[in-house]
Amino acid sequence: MKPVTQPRQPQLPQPGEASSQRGSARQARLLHLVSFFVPMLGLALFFLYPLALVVHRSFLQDDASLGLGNYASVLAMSHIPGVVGNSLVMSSITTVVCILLGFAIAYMLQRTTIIGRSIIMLALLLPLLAPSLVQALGLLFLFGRNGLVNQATGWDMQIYGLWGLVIANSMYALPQAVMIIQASLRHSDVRYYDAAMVMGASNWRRFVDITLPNAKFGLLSAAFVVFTVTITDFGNAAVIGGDYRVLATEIYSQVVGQMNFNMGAVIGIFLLIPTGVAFYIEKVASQRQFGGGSESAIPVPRNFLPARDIPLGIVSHFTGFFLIAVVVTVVYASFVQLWPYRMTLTLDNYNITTQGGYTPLWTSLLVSTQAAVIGVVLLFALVLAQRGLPRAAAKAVYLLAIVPVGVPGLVLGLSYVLSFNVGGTIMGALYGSALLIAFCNFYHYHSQGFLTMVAGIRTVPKSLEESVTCLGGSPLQGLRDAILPIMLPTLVAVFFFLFMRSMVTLSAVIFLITPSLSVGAVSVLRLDQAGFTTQAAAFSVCIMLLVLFAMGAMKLTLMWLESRGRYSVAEAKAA
Amino acid sequence: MHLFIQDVSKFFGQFQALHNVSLEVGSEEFVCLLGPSGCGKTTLLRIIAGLEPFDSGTLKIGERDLREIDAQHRGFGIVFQSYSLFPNMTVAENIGYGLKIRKWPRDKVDAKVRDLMELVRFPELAERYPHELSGGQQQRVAIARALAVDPALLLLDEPLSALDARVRAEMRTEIRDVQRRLGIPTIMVTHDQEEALTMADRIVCMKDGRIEQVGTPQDLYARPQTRFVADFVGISNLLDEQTAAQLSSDLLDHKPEDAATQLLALRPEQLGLRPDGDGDARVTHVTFLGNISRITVEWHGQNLVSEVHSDDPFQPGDRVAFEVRPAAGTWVRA
Repeated sequence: MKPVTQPRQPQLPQPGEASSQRGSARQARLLHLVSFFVPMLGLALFFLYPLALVVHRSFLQDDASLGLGNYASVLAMSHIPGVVGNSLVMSSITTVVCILLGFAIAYMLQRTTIIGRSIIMLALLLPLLAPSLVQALGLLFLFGRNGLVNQATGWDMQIYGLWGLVIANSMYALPQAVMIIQASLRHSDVRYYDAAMVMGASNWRRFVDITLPNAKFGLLSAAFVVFTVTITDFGNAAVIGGDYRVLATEIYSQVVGQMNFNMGAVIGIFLLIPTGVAFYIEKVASQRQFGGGSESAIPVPRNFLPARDIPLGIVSHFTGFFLIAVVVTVVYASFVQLWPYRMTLTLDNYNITTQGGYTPLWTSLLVSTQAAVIGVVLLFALVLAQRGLPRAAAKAVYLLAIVPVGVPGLVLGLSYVLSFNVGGTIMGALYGSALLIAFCNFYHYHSQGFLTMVAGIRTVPKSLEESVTCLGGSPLQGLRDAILPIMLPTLVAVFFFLFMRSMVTLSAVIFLITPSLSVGAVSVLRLDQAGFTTQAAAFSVCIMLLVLFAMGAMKLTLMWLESRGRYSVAEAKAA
Repeated sequence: MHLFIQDVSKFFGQFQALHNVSLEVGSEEFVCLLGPSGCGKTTLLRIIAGLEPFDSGTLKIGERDLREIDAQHRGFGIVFQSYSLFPNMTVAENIGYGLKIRKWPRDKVDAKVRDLMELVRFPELAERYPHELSGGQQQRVAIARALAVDPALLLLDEPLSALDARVRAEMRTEIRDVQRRLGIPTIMVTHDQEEALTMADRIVCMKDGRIEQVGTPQDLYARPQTRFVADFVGISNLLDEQTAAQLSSDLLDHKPEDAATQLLALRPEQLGLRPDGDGDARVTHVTFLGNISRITVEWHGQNLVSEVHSDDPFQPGDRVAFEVRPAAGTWVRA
């Protein structure tokens, strides 16, 4: 060892440095205040206030007094009980279908060696790439009145209505169900299975006694997500619902069709009830489940049991095939001259001139970019602020931040119309702008983005920030050198999540478009409703391509960050 | 430069983590804060670093009140158990970080970093990233990073706990070496009594937010003042007055007249054994430790532990008698 040559000069702060010190304390306080109040102001202005207005309007009677008059008149409408019943029946059936299929596929992906698992994973990605109504569109091309099947067989099969809606919504919600259930299967520990086997439990007993109880929370959680997204989904209901009216289409026709905002608000409240209840039950259930999995779990190895896996493989691959077939049909139809009569291939469908041509697509791109940028900045600030708050306050922020997941897009959209479609105010000035749609999309997906951010910031070791402080770094330098580098992959993931969801969401933005401002997903709906189904398909393909491109960009960015090798899992764990 | 801590108290809500702690650390001293988890040792270290505020008391370095200086401006070096290196910076960048913050010119930073890398013994790793290093190497980088800014005080928070046994032993000598050479006052937190005994100039033994005893390692081992210290630092047989008299009445001769002193702490090596068919003690366990063996003996319903040379053959069931010097053991507060 070589002695250090320079004489040591311990550096104690000199009295003259006091002013710079106060500056840095002020910087820390300012940083904290800004990162807390700006996101909170956003939540208040673009979420709480609009939502409060919906509640207010639902009680606002024609004579400007407050009361239950609107509720009474909505319930008195002869068709409303039927619509509510329809919604519940449709979502319940969809939930059962998605849970059964979702569990089968998740199990197949996670625990078996059935071949073609990557094809199934790919198939499950497809519904995330496009607006929900693309599934309905594809189903109509295949099974509709003029669908391939009816044409080929001469049958007169009817897909419009409950069953078409159930199939379309199942396809739309299935990937989310699989993801949740798969995550719960992933966390099981093989040691439970080994212990049970040593004690003499059969395959079936181990499945019933270990697998199912462990997956219980995942199944429950998936059920609520499926129920919530399907009861509030607008796209499929509008395209394939036919005469089967559900709450989502009802609220739209009250507001857009009859300009009856108060009635729309009442139906919005109705929609809030099931999602609110689902949200609450899930919260309670997740708290009971808490502490189930352990960090050091050894994953359960895959195996192959013919009696189990041959049926499982058939079900999974049939589902996967169906998902792919529907999307492929849409892509194919986008090149067909006149489905199903003139099946010659053409590029004419891509020459879209009605409904504003491709302008809405570029608007979507702009809106999605804005939503992603605003979202990443505000959410990052919020988790930073939350980190520095005392426990109780942090929990309150957490709860507020995840409330938006319980608010259906349609209700959020309606609330924006009520809040921002008012002339002569500052808030009214935003109406009709892409920026407002961006805000709406961001707050629509606020909760998911927030939860990802929270998970991300938990991997930043507190001691790394403290190292910066002790080495003489200011709070801003701590942010730059300790937090940001580790959070980068999370920020990238949240950015693209918000971007991709904004590109395809329909239910919230449907209320915010104006004659001069529309987005891609709405164009697909309008083209379909105007009878230009192949052009609707072409437009869907364009959206899918853009989203696919974004997804690729995200994967590449994350891979690039990873390849620089500085974000190893071990590093985060050691801390 | 001296560190003065006087009557420092700290509350977390209702819970009092530190009770009027007072301590001085000399200008080239290596002090270990030793105690079980939850004793307040890490809290005290974090207060000294400025990472945690305290509720009452005085904290000064030299003549300056540390209340007026926040953590960012104290100019102390700190090393955490978890290394806490910047994952996105190379070894050299990590070490030079504090100097960059201080706006040193680039060439001076480079020279200093080179110096430090030799000090911690791996000049060839400059361009590596932390995740490419072993735990021991990462901790060396963390120490070099803390030393780079010529800290007025070096704070080590269980720096060796995450390392495996062999590296840990190596690092003990290395840290002590560097500290002696640079003459930096150092405070290290540890729960490992062996680590404290081998490294420290002085050990501060803490329990429940209070200082139990301060002294050199020899002091703490040979003259524990409380039952807790006798038990926590090394192993002790704790005997009350009656039992001690039964063992050898001579032992009472060195009992102080202090009423609070009630128990005799007898180290295992002070409790000699000799085979004796008529002895009233019986061997129950023999643990082989290499050159010595630890023998558990049952005697009047009490278990005593003795350490003898492994050459002396004792078997469970053997009848034995004790050999104790009159001056053996220390009387401690119960």
